Amino acid sequence: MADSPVFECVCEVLERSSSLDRLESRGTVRLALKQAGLEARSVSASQMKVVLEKVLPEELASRGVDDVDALLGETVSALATVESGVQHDSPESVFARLGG
Amino acid sequence: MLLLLGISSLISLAAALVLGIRLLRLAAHTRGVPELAMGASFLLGGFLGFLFILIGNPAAGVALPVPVTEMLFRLGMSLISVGLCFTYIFVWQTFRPGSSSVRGLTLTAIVCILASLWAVWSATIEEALVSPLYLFGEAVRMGGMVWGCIEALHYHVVMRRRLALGLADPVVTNRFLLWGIAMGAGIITALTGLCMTLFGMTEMVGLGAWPYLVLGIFATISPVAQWFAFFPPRGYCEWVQGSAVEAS
Repeated sequence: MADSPVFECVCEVLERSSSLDRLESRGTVRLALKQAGLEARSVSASQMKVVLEKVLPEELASRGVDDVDALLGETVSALATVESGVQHDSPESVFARLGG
Repeated sequence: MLLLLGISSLISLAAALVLGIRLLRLAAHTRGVPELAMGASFLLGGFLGFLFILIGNPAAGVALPVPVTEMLFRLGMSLISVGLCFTYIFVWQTFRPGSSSVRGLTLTAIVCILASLWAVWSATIEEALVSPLYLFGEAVRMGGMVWGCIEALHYHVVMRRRLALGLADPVVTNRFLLWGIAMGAGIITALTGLCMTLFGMTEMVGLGAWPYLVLGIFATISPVAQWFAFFPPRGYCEWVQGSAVEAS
């Protein structure tokens, strides 16, 4: 299954505006998502914003990326233009429904 | 011990009936396949199938002619099997709806389960219960519960990570754990019942009361966990939410 547009957008900004190459930026975002219990193929924009705020700064800093705050600000701005894409019925939404 | 088994059976029947109706009503409203599959599983397997087997069981104290008890057993096993086919569909549609390989495995499992019913309908009950075809079907039936248990507990771990970041509802997170527990308890109940069948009731009696105790305890845990998962009392929800706030 393809990765979500939200994931692609964040990876592109990191690749373009930081010292990380394509593989490093995608790997870093995947690790951050895993830490947050999310997946690249289904992450939504609102979920990604939380990851950018709470998980990614530490991941980027540990990889020696400079000016993390400016980079994340740019990423959040880019996210505003991205739609989450088709949202499938996730296990979370199914179990939320089942409880009524 | 029989009283404990009787009480756990009644709890199981009541939970399956109420949850089955509730989930089918939800499915009629949402048109969702997972709730339809789970509701059908509860109603056909957990309620009707189990009820037929209970009525036909001599231990229930209902003195029915042998052909009637055999027919009840065959119908009961068939309904339970169909119910577990719906469990497979629920797990597939909930956790891996986009995977064509999982769809193939699910359909294969359903064919295996339905084919294994040949043993139940073509031989006496005593012969059927120890036939390789029936035992193979039993393994596939349990496979669905094992798969569901693993998926639910794995997703509970994932949801706990989301919860730590404020990205998940504590009650929904807890629902995965409860459903995993219900599936796990169902597996232990089914395994204990299978051992009783394979090794004979008399040998099990020789071992003491523990097999009945295990059966009674886990046959109670499963419906109670399902009830708390899909029909959580308000107080329980508040407790789960309060615990999540304390932990964060």
